[in-house]
This record gives sequence, structure tokens and C-alpha cells, in this order.
Amino acid sequence: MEGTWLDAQRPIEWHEFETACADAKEVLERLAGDRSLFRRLVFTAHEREGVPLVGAFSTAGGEVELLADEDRGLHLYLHVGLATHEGVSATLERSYAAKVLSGVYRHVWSDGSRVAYATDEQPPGLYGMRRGLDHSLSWTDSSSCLVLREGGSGATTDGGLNDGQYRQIQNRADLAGVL
Amino acid sequence: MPILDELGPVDWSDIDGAARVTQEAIRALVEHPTELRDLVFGVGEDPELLGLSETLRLDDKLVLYEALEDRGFRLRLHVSKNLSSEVPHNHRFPVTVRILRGVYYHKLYVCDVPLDEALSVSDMRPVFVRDERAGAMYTMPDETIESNMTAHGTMSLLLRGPTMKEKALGIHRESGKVFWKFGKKDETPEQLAKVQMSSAYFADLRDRIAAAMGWDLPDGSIASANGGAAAARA
Repeated sequence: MEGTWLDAQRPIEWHEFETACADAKEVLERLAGDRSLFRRLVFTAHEREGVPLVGAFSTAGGEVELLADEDRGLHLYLHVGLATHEGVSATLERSYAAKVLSGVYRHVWSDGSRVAYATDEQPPGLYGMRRGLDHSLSWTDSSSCLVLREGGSGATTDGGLNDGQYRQIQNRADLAGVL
Repeated sequence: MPILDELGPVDWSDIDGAARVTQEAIRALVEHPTELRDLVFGVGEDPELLGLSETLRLDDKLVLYEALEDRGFRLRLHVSKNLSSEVPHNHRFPVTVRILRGVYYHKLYVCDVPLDEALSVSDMRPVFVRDERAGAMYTMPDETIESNMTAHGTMSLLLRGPTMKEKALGIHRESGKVFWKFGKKDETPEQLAKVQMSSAYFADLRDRIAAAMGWDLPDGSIASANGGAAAARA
């Protein structure tokens, strides 16, 4: 793929959470507005040289990795809800920033045994979360978001996608009108 | 029946449950073609609501609906006046907030030390950073620490629950200065008089809100952005 503005993106310093969020949100806003590059990343994710098609897939949702650059802290994903999903509380392993493109993502942050915050994120929702938070994430069918995530061990989620899963994620995002 | 007449009593001890019912009610209110407008316009005819409304340095707080005693909530409309600075704070009560226009640059913090005068800015660790734009909605208990930086003209609905503590704490992130926020009953008559919203101020604010929301004024005229009727309705 020929060079893009993403190639010139400065590193995201995830150890400085607030700065990282500001930088990550800028990247996500710009990419969401750059439909040509966004589409290209999604539809050529399986063609990246020397990189397997990385992502995660379940009946509830799928995620495809669009870019992975450990040195610059850029791990970029498209998440798509394939069914309405009710999340359970878990500890966030990596900080991330997200931009909601369609549907609704419901976050419930628990601080100890109490709920500290509950929100429905809808377009143009843009936010960052620090690792270590206990929170649950739910979504509605065909919700989609761009995610820029801190790197490190396990940053590439759950392994590879097969071709059918990859196509299903693409199709659902396309149907949601975000590509 | 008006939407808010059907809300409650709200069980704020279950924040997730309270979030669902209050957010749903506010969503319905905002999506209704006339109910929010009627609540705003109705403040001028209701001495109790106008008496509860305040005009502060950073924002105006218009009380639209009062059911704190019997159903555990009060609805306010906030209109920002200035770009505020970053002031992490908690509340005396749980809240549900909906952004109507503009943006909240919103941060949520974790603090592992007691919230008192000895608090330092470095004790506040941001964990959730969000741009809250029109349509965004969230609910949180009184203990949650947040800061909101808003642009001039940002408007939001705030549905608060019952008072959970006498005072809440704030800290200016730039200066480190700690301060307490009290309820009306703990403020002096002078302090209360200073922030009391007058009828004239309300009328101007109502017109500015109407202009921002695209509502016709009660007399059928069209509101202009800087307040007042711009033109007679044809």
C-alpha cells in the first residue's frame, strides 16, 4: 500500500494516558473522516505483507486488525457487533480509545462493588479508557467502532480470522453504512 | 400524561437500574416534539421552579421539574457561559446527564486517598476521557469524581437524585486549590440572593435556549440567537 498520513503519525505514548488519549482520538477522528483510507484498510487487511489476518470473532461480534505498529503504539481495529450482546464485568487489560461509528455501546464502570459510571456511547462518541478499569461492555446488533489500543502482550487479541469471518465483519460494517 | 410524571420513584441505590430508567425517560423527553420546550417555557409561570433556578459564574441552572421529595429526582437545564477550567469534583447526589448541544470534555478520575483538604492534584488519576456531544448520556453516583470542560453555549439536562451527603469536594487541577460545595440550606441569604435567577434574566435565557433549540417562542414569534423575538410569525 502506498504511503498515507498514518505512516507519518507520531508515536502514541500510552504510559501518558491523557496525552495518549488526545493523540489517539485525533487519529480516530481523522481516519473516520478519511473514508477512502478507512475502506482501503478494511478491505486489504488480509493483504498486509508478512502479517496474518488478525482479529477476533464470536457470534456476538468481530474485530479485524487494520494496523499494528508496536514501535509507535498504533494498534488499530474495526469492531462490529454481529448480534446484541450483554457484557459482563472484567478488568481492562490495555488502555484504548474508541470512536463509535454506528449503533450503541454501553459501558458500565464498576469501582469496587459499586457502579461508578454507566453510559450509552453512540455516534459520534469518542472516548479513552485506562487499563485496570473494571467494566462491562455491551452493544447492539450492527454497532461498530474504530479502536486504537495500547500494545504489548496480547495486543493482537485472539488470533487469526478465517476468510468467512473476515467477510462477515466487512459486510456487516458495510450494511451499517460506515464503510 | 407528561413523560416525567410517569418516572419514579427512582431507586438510586441501584445505579445501573437508575441509569436505564432515567436515561430512557430523558431520551423520550428530548425526542418528544413539545415536552421539553413546554417545561422550559413553564418555568416562568412557576415561582417554585424559578426560585430554585440559579445563575452562576460558569453556567445557568434552570430547574425544569421538581419531584425530589416524592419520586427522588429533579431535572435541571444547564447552559454554559464560559470555557471552564479542569476541576475534578464529586457531587452531593447521583446524576444522569444528557448533552443537548455543544460538548463536554469530560474526565473521570480514580482517587485512592480520602477526599478532604489534604487532597493533592497528583492523587487524581484520570481513567476515562470522553468527548460528550449532543445525544451523549451518562449516569453516575455521588462518589464518582469527574471534571467537565465546556464551551460557551453548551446545553445539558441534568437529572439529579436525592442528597447523599452534606458537602461535595472540588479541586482546581491547575492551582491545586481544594474547595467544598454545599447545598442551599447551608448557604447564607446573601449567597443565595447573589445567584438567584430573576424573571427578566429567565425570559432572556428562555429566548436564547429557544433559538438554540429551534423552538418558536410562546407568543408564536421566532427566537433569535442573541435572545428575543426576531420576527413575527407569518
